[in-house]
Amino acid sequence: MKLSDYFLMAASNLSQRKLRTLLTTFAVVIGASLISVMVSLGTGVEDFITKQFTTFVPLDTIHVAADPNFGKFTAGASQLGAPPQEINGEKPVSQSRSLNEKDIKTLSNLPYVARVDEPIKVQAKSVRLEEDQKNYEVQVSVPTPYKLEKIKLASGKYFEEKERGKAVIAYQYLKVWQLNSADEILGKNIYIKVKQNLGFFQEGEEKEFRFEITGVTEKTLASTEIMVTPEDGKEMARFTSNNPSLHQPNQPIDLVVVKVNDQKEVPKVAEKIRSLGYGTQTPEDMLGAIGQIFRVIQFILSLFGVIALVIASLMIINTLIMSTYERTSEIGLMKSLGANINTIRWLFIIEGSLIGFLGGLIGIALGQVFSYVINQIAHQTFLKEFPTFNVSTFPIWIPLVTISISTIIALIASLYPANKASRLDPIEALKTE
Amino acid sequence: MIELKNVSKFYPMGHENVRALNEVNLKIEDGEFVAVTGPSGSGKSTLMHIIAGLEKPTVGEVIVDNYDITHGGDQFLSKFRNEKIGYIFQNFHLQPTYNCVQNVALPLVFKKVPRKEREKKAKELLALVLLTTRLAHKPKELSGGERQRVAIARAIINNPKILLADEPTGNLDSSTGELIVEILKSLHKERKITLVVATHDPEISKHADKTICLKDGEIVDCKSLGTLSKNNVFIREGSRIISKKI
Repeated sequence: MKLSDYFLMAASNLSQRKLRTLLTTFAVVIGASLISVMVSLGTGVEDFITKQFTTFVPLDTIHVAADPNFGKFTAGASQLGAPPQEINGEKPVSQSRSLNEKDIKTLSNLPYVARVDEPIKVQAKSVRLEEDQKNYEVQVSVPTPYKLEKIKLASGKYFEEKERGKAVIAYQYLKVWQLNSADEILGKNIYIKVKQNLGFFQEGEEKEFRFEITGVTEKTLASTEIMVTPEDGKEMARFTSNNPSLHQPNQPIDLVVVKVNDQKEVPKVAEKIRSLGYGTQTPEDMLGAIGQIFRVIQFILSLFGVIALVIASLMIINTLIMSTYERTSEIGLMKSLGANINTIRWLFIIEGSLIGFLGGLIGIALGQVFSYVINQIAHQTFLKEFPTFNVSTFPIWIPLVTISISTIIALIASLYPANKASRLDPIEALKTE
Repeated sequence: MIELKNVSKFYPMGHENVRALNEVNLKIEDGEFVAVTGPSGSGKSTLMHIIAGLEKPTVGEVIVDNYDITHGGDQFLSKFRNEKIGYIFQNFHLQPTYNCVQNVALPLVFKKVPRKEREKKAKELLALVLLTTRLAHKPKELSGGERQRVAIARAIINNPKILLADEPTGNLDSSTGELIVEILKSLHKERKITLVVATHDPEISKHADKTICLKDGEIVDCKSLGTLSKNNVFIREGSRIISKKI
């Protein structure tokens, strides 16, 4: 029998028993829509976290330290949950060697490496607007130019790398400074207060640094972030650490960030850097753990859908067994006219699979609708502040995977009835009316 | 040629075996018209099923058109049934959901013939059995005689060498039955098909080249069953079945 005939015959058989087919398909629809919605929720949240994460750590960068154990779980403590490891001789401890100018030169000359930067960390105490006396909490960051480019601005512009006294602030500050639009704050001055860290026994001095606001970011999770220019950042870091030589040429460096030209080359470049004896940590390493957690959450959520599909598969088995009883005489006739065991078997398998495919298709459509409704509700309630974030996202693989799962489960469910039908004795079958 | 050598068929029924055919030996030459007759339960249908490859004999050998169908597997036997045999059932066995054209074309579906081609052939054969006006009708919209004509068209769509008809007029009134017999006869004559008809109807036996009489699963001398005329019926008397004039 030709493939097209199988499908035509199967479809015709299903349409003969419309209500039963519809009810069985509906069971598959429930399962498929549950799976797709659950997975899309998981994907949406993961997507959100990943996007937020990459605003902190761009995906085309590698963190490099002199310690070859840097970036590994085993550097300090054992990997979580792993059995204790045997120690031969000395326990490997983190090396205290720092990076120097020579290392930076080596790293800069590697293929695909665009630039190497030293991250600048500033511990700030508070921030206030010039005309306001209230202090607010703040996280000062010193972005590299390529990182700055990726940050979307609600208003204003970025500062240049060599500029001084310029800052880009987080959107959330507008609210505390009671401004309605981002444009109103551009050009105003803010004061960031930092305090010298002189250890536990000595009280350090405080100092305020003045910045002119050039831009306001779009709303992100980094709600207290204020970005300052590299030179200002260095100066603040020297003050707080009470170390005037910090970030000066020829000083030891703990950590550098290597920017790679092409994101795809990140693993290769990291490999190369490790082969030179350095330790690396890529965004993949950090995101990997997040991804795994979401994979587990998605799996658990989609289990509900899978359970629904298993129940649906029992209905498919039932439907097809009923069908073999009703169509015993027809099966006998087909055999007497030249249908072989495989013909009958495939006919039933395709019938079952069609139910699964159809259910999957409708389930996906329904899932899309649910997903849309969930997003609408979210945007009007708890996600009012994040208009660009969808709780539920539907990448193309979700429909593909869901339809495949529902079709395969239906196919497996139809194996038993198909086999039963194909083994019918034609003479006995023909006697049934 | 159809040849049965020492063919016996037993059916298990409870703890006993019921004998449907017992050491049957027969030969039917190509192009012959053979009537198989005998009382109900004499083994006519079983004999037809065995020739058609629908059932296997318990003992013995069956050779049809030089194929030993006794030992064939499912693939071989289904191809054999599809291409060599045309089978006509007493109760027509048409697919209720299919129209006439689809019913007639069904054997070609299993032979992977393209749709247009098989529909064309089905229409030609429906014209041959005088059903041109019924092409799109479903079986329930047809009379008994019309249904049997559809079944005949279906049986010959693969140009089989052998046409087996099991009580083809059994469910029809006599005038309709006559028309069916005429169609079968002309097919036998014009297409040189080997025709084997299992029947109670003595009218059919009259037209046959040869009549095989069965009783209790064995071939017997037809005279022992009495003259088969319209006035004769077979009745059960104790454990025996006899022919009696009424």
